[in-house]
Amino acid sequence: MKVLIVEDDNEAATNMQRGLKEAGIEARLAGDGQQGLDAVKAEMPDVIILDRMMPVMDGVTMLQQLRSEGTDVPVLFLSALGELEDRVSGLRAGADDYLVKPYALTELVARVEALARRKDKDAVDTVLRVGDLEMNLISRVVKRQNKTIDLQPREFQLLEFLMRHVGQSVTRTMLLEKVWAYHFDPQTNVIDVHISRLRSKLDKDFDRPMLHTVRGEGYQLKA
Amino acid sequence: MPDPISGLRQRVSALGRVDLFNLNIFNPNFFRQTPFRLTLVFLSVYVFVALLVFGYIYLATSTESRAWGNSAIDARMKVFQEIQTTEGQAGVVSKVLTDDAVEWVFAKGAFDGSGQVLAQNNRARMEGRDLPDYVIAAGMKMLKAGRKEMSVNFFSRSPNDEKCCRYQGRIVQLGDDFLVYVAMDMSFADHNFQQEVKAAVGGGILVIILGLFAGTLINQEVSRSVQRVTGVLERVQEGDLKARIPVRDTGDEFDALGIRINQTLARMEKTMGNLKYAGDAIAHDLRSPLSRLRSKLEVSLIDVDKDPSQAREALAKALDETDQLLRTFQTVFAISRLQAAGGAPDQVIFDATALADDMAELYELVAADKGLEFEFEIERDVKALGNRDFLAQALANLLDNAVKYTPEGGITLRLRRTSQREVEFSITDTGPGVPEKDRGRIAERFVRLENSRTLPGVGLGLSMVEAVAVAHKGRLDISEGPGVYKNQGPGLRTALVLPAV
Repeated sequence: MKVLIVEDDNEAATNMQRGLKEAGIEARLAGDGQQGLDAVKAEMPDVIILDRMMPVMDGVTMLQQLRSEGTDVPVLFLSALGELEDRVSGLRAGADDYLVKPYALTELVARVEALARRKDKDAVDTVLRVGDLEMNLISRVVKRQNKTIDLQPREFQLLEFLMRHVGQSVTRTMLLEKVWAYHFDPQTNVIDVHISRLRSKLDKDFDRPMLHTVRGEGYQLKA
Repeated sequence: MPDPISGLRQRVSALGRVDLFNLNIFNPNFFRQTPFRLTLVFLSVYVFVALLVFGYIYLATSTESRAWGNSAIDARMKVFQEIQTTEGQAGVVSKVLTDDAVEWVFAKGAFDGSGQVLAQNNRARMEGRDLPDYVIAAGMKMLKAGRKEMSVNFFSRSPNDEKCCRYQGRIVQLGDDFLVYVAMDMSFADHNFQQEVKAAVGGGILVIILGLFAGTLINQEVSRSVQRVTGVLERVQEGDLKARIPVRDTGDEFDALGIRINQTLARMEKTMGNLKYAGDAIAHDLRSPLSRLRSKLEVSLIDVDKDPSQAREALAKALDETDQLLRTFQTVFAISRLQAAGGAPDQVIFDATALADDMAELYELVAADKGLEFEFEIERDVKALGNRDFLAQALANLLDNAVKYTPEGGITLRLRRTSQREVEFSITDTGPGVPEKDRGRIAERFVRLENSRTLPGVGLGLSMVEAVAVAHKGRLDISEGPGVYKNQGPGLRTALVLPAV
């Protein structure tokens, strides 16, 4: 996977590059929007990490230009702390996801992986399969080793998201944002208790667990 | 160096006399002030219209008097022509010579083709030599041109009376070598018109003087009102945000403007105050967590010095601590922004029932995980105006608190419309509750009550809820819970109330 980081703060960019490298992701750097556009022309990345505030050309402008040229590469938008309006303007300009600075590197990696995966996984599947787990999106039936697992609607959505991101770490914030569609900071273990209930239905009667907790990061579904 | 006018003005003021220079008329800007300019525009329009009217009257009266003169001359000519046919040239001459007093406005005369005057009436004689000379010259010209009749208009230049007279007349050839003229003195008609013009100009000058006077008065009145506004704005510009425009309760436009500006200033002052407060508060609020982080890192350094294998754990702990600090900062920042903005951003009509359902679904398991009962009573189809994410954050904080501070029993989440159609989210727990004396201050920043200090948290949760409530023009109500439950109580009821849509 090839990532393009467009960020004027060189230290932050280098740290990102380092963190992505640890996760096996190669990343190039561009110092502003104009360099970013040039880099995209030279070689199309799989995901762009785009900072909002930059000299010469800011993130929103670059994103609008990219989208107006018909480039549909997934874009993760970065913005400074507490600027809710930025999220709205970033998503409006055509960003696919959004992360507030300061962020944990694990959160960044998880979101980049999710975005890269989304490109090919967004295809209209009617059945999702992970190992011996099978989810029918039409009849909304979930089976593991051909035994039906009875899920409530939210558990179904949660599992669907995990199955679409199989093998990746997904963070609690991502789950709250993508499954519940809320952007707030839960102080307690809200997501954990939902995961543990899903886990009890998914793994309890089987010898091999699928839903793993990744310490300090979040959760991961493995085949 | 002040300009001479203002220097003089100061000296005059110092003398304690009437400050003439403060009168508006001495202000160089006076003629550029709007009311005065309006007065000038009005006066120009007035003068223009007056000129148009007089032009029209002049045209109308002169046409009329000319027609009248023509018909009067016609009548006299006709008499001469009749006499010419019945009595011949001698009859005409004697008629001219025997003009009676009634005909005094007419100058009449007869002459032959060589320019020799044959007869003149009194009027024509009286008016001096120019009258026949001019007419006879015109008659010769007429004959030369081969015409039988010709109009002559002329001013007489009587040596007795400079202004006399304006004649309108005609020369007619009656015989082969015989011409007569009849001219009527029209100066009486002109005199009437001149009287009218004089009256109108006098009246016009009066109007202009009164107009300028009124304009000056209006101008002073308006500029006094404007000065009340500009004076206050100048003070604001110099940093006095408390300056307000005096309102006279007359309900005129200047009052309306003043009230509007005062409202804007009040809002500005509040926002500035909030911003200043927020800045101070953030600096203050972050000092203690930062120094705590610093001392922990110092201790970690000592630990790692003693036992290098602890390095990883020490760093992980420091990272946790930093995350906690960032989270605190983020919350303080969010609260400050909400307070400074005076309203939550992006407020829309949203489905409050759905929000309550979602929060119930999210927190039911959290409560269950701690062995608490979770109940909810959520009214259907409740709509509210607000920012869903901020309200979700506020409700999450209330629910977090309820779970955190309730060791046994249960939590109830309710959504209802009150009798005033307000939208009320309430959370009731069976925990120990909060003593009445403390309820007023638990929503203040970083306030943590004695018995809660052992539990994690920094004391910003309720501050955030209150900020969110206020940013939605709502409120946070804190009251007693359901009562004693298993030797503890009375529990706590927190309610986030949003105004009716």
